[in-house]
Parts: sequence; structure tokens; C-alpha cells
Amino acid sequence: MQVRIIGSAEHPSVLLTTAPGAVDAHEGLVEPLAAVLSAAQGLTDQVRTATFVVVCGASAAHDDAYSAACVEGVRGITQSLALEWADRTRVNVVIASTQQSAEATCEWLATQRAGFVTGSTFDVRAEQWRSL
Amino acid sequence: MAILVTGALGGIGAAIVGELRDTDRGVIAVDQRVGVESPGVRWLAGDLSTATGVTAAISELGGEPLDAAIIAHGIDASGAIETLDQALIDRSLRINGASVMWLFDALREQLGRTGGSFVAISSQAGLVGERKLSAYCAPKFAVVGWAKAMAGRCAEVPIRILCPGCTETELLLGGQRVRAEQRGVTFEEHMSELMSTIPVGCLAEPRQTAAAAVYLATAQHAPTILAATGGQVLY
Repeated sequence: MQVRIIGSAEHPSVLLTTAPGAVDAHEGLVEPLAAVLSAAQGLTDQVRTATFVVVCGASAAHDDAYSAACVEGVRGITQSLALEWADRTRVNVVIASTQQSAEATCEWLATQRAGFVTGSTFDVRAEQWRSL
Repeated sequence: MAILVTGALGGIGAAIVGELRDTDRGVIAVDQRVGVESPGVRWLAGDLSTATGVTAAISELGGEPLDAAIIAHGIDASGAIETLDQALIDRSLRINGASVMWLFDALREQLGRTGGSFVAISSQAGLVGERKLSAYCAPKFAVVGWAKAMAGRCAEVPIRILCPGCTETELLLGGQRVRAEQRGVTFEEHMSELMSTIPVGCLAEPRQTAAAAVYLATAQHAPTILAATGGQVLY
């Protein structure tokens, strides 16, 4: 599990890479979600768009219940903060198999063309429909 | 056999114990301390905030078969994100989220022997985000996601999640008092506004939420996710 902030000061992304095959809910859930919340606390009110990017293995939703739980947890954080920060910062979440596959979505979210988009989930994993 | 209920001294948990007693089902009631002895109810004190605490508490059952387990404990974690301290965040993630999974791991074999259901109480805040509730939404969403991922992978133990709406418990009322203070309005004004957002026009009585939990625990065929929210959150 790794959480780091990338991108610009006004348009940062909080990047979480889940730990596939976590053996315990503390490692697979508590640690990553605590790190994401801590990262969110560090975002200033100068931030215009914050994007949470969850990178999890392509088959995480099928094989790893902790990864699936973690993804949903970040969705919960995103939705709550989208309401809390509605007057200053747009907040969205991108779920991707790789960091590279999330980049185009993050770039679009940072533009004014996405000015009405907040609290949304962008699941760009190829197999997203099979996981529903 | 009996049905295990955690958070048995809490508002919803106590109502579940009452609902089960009314239907003459045996109950193993779990909380941080034991409650008042009553017929058909056996108390077990335990700390469910850590994996070792869960293991210790469940080991006291000695592998006794169970009809079902209803996981009804939880804590409030409301507040704007910048006001939340790390200790509260950690407690909420462990108690509202991870402990559900620890309990499932600890009870899976006992429930599997009887085909008993594992029912966890999430929240409508586990389906749709709520303002100034990020440290609560995170584990409640996670429990829903975990259940969906597990649904097709654990045929021997049906996993079911209840997402209740605003239930008239001290947990809810305490949180709303804090929110009213933060907003600078009276509690009555705040509750009136809250009520206007609930289509059925009232809070759930604890026994109504308890009845939904017992239905999920005892029905042979039931949904994995049930939203009992008075229409406030549709699922």
C-alpha cells in the first residue's frame, strides 16, 4: 500500500496503490483509508480540483475483497468531501488498473470543461462491468 | 442454537436483542460490558476494536454453532475533515469497518456449519456520501464493497448488509446535536430540517431497523444489500 500526492498545487491527485492479497483488514483497509484521509487533510483551500486515484489490480474486484472494500471506502470519502468542499473544490475518484490509464481522466477533470463534475466515480478498469 | 448480536447495548443492537427475544430466539449478546441478565440472553464482554480482541471474544463461544450473526456495533465519527484527529479516524476505520471483516473471519466456520447468515449494519452513509462525514462514510462504504465482493465467493455463509437511514438512537441524536451546534441553529430547527429530507417524514424507530436486521438474518432468501431509509436514500 502506498499513498502519495502527485500533480500540481491547484489540481493534485491523491494516488493510492492498493496491496493485492492483503491478509488482514488492518493492512488492506484501515491503513490505506487512514492514509487517504490524512492526505485529504493536507489539501489546502487553494486546491481547485482534487482527484483520488485508486490503482488496483485488474481483477481486484473479483479476487480480493479487501481491495474492493478499499475502493468503496475511497468512493465514500470522495462523495462526502464533494459535499463538504462544494463551494471551493471539486472532488472525484478514478479507479484504474494502472496509474497511466488514469492520467487522461485526471487531466480532463482539472479543466473547466469538467466544472460541473464533483463527487463522481470514474471506473476506467476494462472489466468494470463484469465487477458489478 | 442462538443468534449472536454485537453492539447489544447500543440503540439498534438492544432493539435487535428485544426483537429476537420476542420471537423466542436465543441470543448471545456482545458488547464492551455485559448487560442486564434476562431469559434467553447470554452476555459476552469483549473489545471488538482490534483483531486480537475479536479473536478473544469469539473464542469464548468455544465453536458453538450459531443460527446467524448480526453485527450492530459502531461509533460516530462526524465532523469536518480538518477537525478530525488521527485517533478518531483510526477508531472509526477499525470499529465501523475492519471489525466486520475480523468478525466474519472468526465466525465463518461456526456459521458455515449451520448455513447461518452474517448480517452487518452499515448505513445509508455507506451508499451515498454525506457532508462532514468522511471518516464515517469510508468504512461504511467499505463494508458494502466488501460484501458485494464476497457475495459470490462464500456460498456457505450468506452475507447481508443492512443500510439503515436515520434511526432514533442516541448515536444519531448525539451526532445531530453536534451538527446543530456547528451550524449555529437550535437542535429542534436542525431536526425539523433533517426530517424534511426524509420522504416518509419521520425517523425510524429502533425496533423498525431491528426488524429489518432480523429479517436479513432469518430469511432463507434475502438481498445482499437492503436500504431501509424511509426513502431518503434509494437503492
